[in-house]
Amino acid sequence: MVPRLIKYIENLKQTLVEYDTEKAVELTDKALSEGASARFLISEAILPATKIIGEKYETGEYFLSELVLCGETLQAVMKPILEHLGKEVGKKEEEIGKIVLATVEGDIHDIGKNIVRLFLQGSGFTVEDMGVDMPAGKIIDKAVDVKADIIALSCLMSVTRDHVKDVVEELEKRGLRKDFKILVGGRSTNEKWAGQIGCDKWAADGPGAVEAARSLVGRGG
Amino acid sequence: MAKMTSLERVATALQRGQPDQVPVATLAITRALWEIGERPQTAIDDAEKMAKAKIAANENFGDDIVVAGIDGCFVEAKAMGAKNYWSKHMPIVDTRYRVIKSWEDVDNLTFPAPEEHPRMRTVIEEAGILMDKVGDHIAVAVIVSGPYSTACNLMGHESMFRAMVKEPEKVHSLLDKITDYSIKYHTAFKGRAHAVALLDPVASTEATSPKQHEKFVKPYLARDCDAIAKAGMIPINHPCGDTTGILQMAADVIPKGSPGAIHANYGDVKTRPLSLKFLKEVVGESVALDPDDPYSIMLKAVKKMVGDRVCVCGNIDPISVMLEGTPDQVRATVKRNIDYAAEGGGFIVMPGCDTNPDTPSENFKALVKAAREYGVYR
Repeated sequence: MVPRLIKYIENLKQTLVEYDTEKAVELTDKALSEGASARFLISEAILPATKIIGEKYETGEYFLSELVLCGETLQAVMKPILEHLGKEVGKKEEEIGKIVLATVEGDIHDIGKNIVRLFLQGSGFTVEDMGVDMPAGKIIDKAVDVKADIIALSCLMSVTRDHVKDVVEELEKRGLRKDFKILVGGRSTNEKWAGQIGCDKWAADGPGAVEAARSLVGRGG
Repeated sequence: MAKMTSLERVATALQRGQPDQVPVATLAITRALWEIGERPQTAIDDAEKMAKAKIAANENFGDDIVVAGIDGCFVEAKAMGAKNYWSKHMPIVDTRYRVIKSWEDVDNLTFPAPEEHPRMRTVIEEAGILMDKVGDHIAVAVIVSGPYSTACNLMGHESMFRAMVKEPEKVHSLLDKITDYSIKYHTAFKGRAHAVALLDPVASTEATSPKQHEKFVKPYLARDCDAIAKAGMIPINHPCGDTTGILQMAADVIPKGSPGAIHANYGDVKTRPLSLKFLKEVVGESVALDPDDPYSIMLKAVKKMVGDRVCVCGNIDPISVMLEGTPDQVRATVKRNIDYAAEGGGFIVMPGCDTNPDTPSENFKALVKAAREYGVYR
């Protein structure tokens, strides 16, 4: 890589971690216009920044509010990066997996889901975000339609978490259970319960979802 | 010690005293409707039915507190224009519709008199009926919303997070208005409730940082609690969720020298490294973690940190223990809670939050039975 581009990397990482959207987009545009590849920016700035943000959350320096703001900054810089990626040769190689993401039926909470989406996208996954209050049937139709690897489900409220089970059961009913991995998370869920109802993985937060999703598509470790 | 009534027992604990035995609450709040064959959708507008259900649940399970309301987190926001959304059995606020889309909308907020707003009036009447029927011997509490969570329900959480960073003065001005109005509603329970529990789910550290909590949650909640105490009721602060990092502030909002309590899930030491660190710092390296019950142990640290200033309530996991567990697991958890926090009084054993309506009756019964068995002060 051209040495002059490297100077952007540290600055971009810092602005992402400090959720300075304006500066981050400016740096991204500059780097791309001066010849940086989208892949270079993802691997050298976006992914390391995501990791730092995750660590700050883990150690209690950052909280959900910071994750939301970091997520918005990530989303803003991913727009030009993804556009650029589309023009680059070998785009397919970058897709490490396709995920259909939704908050389950009856639940309209979306902060956690949105953060998970941004972290997954920032880590190279293609994410079809179906939004909130999504019935099992529609989620599965979409997963079949886009040939997803993973169905990722979010559920905040304990009164609606039976609808996570609906997705597992509906997949079994349609004979499709083996076609998709199921990842679940959200306030009312836990690892033990996720295992009991037949999900493949459970994650506590955005960084955890990335780790879980990577291991589900054989990119773990 | 002579046997106390439930009310005496709860009042003593809320004043950080040692009653005859550890008071217990099932928090079968939404679930109480099932006890009279009703559902939230069919009874929410009927204060008589709501009160009847709460009394039936109290009689069936035998605990010490009845709680008025079911949608406590949302009533103030609904009165100010937020839309209701039925999430299965829970009447929550539909945050897809935002009452405050721009700062100009703050000037157009409506503040109906609590007695004139249908939902507020029903909760006030429900509390009044509970007080008339059982308030001489059972403690009556009402659930309401903290000003910060109400603001989030009106603005949308993400917009609030952004505004706290970019336009803090505007957020303060909004919180001021909401607090003024909340106080009108909360003090309307004077003579109808012994205690007012302020639910503030967005204020926990799962959503809001301690720095933001100090600026945007604490001052407004403290003003609210002060008004509640001056109206002769006891404030209970419920920053629903993880309190690691905000515990001192959560206790500080209770007016100095007044009775009051904190109640939350406090933190999940299995998934939250920060909670585990806090626990080890306060209790020591020797803490034994039970993978099936990652909540209870936090009580030990919470009691040690703030038990000299406020009554501590909790901390049975409403999901992994109350909903998913067996009566034996509930019993073991209650015993653990009592071992951790009962010493010297100032403790009420209860789930960390409202319970799921599917929670088995046997588990509520096991909770109360175990509290009576293990909780006697000698």
